[in-house]
Amino acid sequence: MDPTRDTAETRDLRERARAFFHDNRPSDPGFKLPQTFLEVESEEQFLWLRAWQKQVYGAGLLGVEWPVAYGGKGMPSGSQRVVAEEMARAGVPFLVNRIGLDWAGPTILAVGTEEQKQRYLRNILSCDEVWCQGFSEPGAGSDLASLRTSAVRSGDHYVVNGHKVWTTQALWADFMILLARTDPSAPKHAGISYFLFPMKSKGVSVRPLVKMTGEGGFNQVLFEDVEVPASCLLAGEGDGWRLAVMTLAFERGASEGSATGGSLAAGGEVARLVALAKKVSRDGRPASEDAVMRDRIAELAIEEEALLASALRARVPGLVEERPLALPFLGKLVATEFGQKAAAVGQELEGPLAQYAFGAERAADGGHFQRAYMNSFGFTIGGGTSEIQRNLVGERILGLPKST
Amino acid sequence: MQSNARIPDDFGYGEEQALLRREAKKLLESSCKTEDVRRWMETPAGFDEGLWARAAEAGWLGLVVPAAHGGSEMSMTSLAVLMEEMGRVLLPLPFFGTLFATLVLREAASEAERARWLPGIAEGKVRAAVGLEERRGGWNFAHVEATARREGERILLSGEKELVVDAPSAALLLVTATEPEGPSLFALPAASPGVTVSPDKLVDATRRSGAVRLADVVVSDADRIGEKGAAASILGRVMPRIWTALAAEMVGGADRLLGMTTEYAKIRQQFGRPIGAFQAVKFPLVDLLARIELSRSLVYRAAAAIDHAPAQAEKLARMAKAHASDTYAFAAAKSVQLHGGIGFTWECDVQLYFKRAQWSRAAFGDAAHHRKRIAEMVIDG
Repeated sequence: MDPTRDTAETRDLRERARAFFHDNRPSDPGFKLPQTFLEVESEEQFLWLRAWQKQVYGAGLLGVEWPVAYGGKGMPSGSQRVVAEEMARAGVPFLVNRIGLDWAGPTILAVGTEEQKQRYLRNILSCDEVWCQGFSEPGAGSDLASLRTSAVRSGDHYVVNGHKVWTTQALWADFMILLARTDPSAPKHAGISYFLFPMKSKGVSVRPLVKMTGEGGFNQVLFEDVEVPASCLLAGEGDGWRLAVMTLAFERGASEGSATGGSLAAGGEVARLVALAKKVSRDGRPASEDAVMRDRIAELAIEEEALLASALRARVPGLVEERPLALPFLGKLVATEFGQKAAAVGQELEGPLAQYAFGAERAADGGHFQRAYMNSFGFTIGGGTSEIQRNLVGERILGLPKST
Repeated sequence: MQSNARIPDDFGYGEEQALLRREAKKLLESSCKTEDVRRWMETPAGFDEGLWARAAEAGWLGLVVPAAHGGSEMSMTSLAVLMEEMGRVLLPLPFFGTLFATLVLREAASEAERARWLPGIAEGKVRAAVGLEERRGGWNFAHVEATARREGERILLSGEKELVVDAPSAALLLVTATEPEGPSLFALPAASPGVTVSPDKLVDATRRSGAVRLADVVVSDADRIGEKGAAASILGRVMPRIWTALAAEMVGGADRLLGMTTEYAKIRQQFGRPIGAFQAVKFPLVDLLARIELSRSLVYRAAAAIDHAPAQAEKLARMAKAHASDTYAFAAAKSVQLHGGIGFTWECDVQLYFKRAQWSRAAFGDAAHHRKRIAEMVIDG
């Protein structure tokens, strides 16, 4: 959020991004837009958002750190973050193919064959092909490695059977990054493989689920004797767990290389809270004059700045010498908990108006924070719960014994 | 108003800072162990002259003194590195008061005053302290009831400053006193007639401070630091350095607590396993780690702003002090709690850090005080 941090290299990009998002801010589509990529529930929303991502990519603002050969711009690390900051600043809609951009894409880029990179990456950026993620199962949540969906090799095919859940955007996805067990006799982490799975295959059925917000967006996916070519395998058989850990690191913002630059540093939450505080009243005066509310906002302003400063510090080897991996490992935990707290404070600022639901005519800020607060739990649960994150950090960074 | 000056991506942290950190670690870890700290804190002076001399030899007292006056004139980022390392070992030297005075003199003193005091400071021969706080004004350094009354060529200072860090060992005092033009800063030898320094009994026995009573202490126009009535603007430029330096020290202390408590959680066995395997123990340690890492980011960001983008310095430095205050308090509370019974004893070193945290959060503005100012900047623009 701070242009004074720019280098000469990123300044030009920031200016282009700022001008583009200013000139091309989409007009109101006339229907409700989802708040994040997790809540896309209708085809109407999906098509509109896909057109928006296409437009952003067309402007040369997406995948800027990816190699030119695969549709990127080959710019230095940190460049995409500049675009992300300008998007947050402009308050424009999100990029719908998030799972392709930040999870599948970087994993393929890291370990895919040349053919796989050519085949998939450009279409992820342009949103011509949308991705979903098939990791969690009804019986395998935090304990992901106990997954039971199977893929059995049969000639030049695999036959997939099983059941995935919490599958965001499965309704529209062209591909899924799929974890399936290829060797049931191996130890649980060793028997898993990672597939680039075509969703339009015969035998795949998708059943929408409804979230606590009343919105759709995620689904269950059932696989019944689905035959897919053996070339769908990413890396080798049994490499699935290692690749899953890699994807999760991208998902949690712990590794560089995502196409949207989203990680620790988002920014813009406090500005939104300040604007709200000036609009709503407490005791007949603007909430922005209430001493307690001011303290809450200041506390969040400090935390937001600390997150931004941490994203920058993580890139300075001398300043992370003692625990080089601490910030990357903490990123998801601290950023999602900050978002949750900010949304809670947003509702607090509203006073009695916080009783209105999202979309109510009399709500303050359209009830944004009521919905944002509910949705914030999607982030503290999805991609490894905050509790799993704390276990990981405790064991990997502090070296504490495993909790069994 | 936004300055166009840019905070560098590397936070101004390079080989020079890395070297300073290595050398500081080496010196401090060999010559300032907790058994030493415990011994020194029981003495009236509270510190060891030999260690003071070694700090001077290492160049630490001249770290922010201009080269022209015998110092090495290093950056705020360098100072933050040194303070962080000092905080790790609870270094009980009267460093902070002298640092504070150095920063004020460097910022605003006449060439004659600088030449008079700074070389001695850099060599470790002169210790100093800055008296700002009064009973009613507290952390608001613009609230000054002490007076500077003119009598011909002479100026008479009267009033009382409290909690003046490192005053008991200081040879030089800088104090604020109000003139018709507003509060001004004056420099005076602590031995001047009419000056009484009464040592405080502090919550943190490794620190020293004192109440400074001024009873018609005679100074002259030449002893004024900066213009008449300029104290608030001088301090406005100096305080971000003080907040950031203290925050850096606090991060170092909190980090040491995290290390001690994590190690204890690995070796202490209950129910047949190390207590660190229990999430009730593991999770607070992770939360502490997260807070420390965030505090540290703010400290180095504030330091870099002070060096390169002064328009952002005050806000970031207040953020650093506010955040570090909460982090150190959290570190202290969790460390005592997770050590269990032994953590509540005099024998356990956690208590020393606990008290440093108590002192530090209340020095130079606590978290709520700084958040109040941050709210003004963030909300009122």
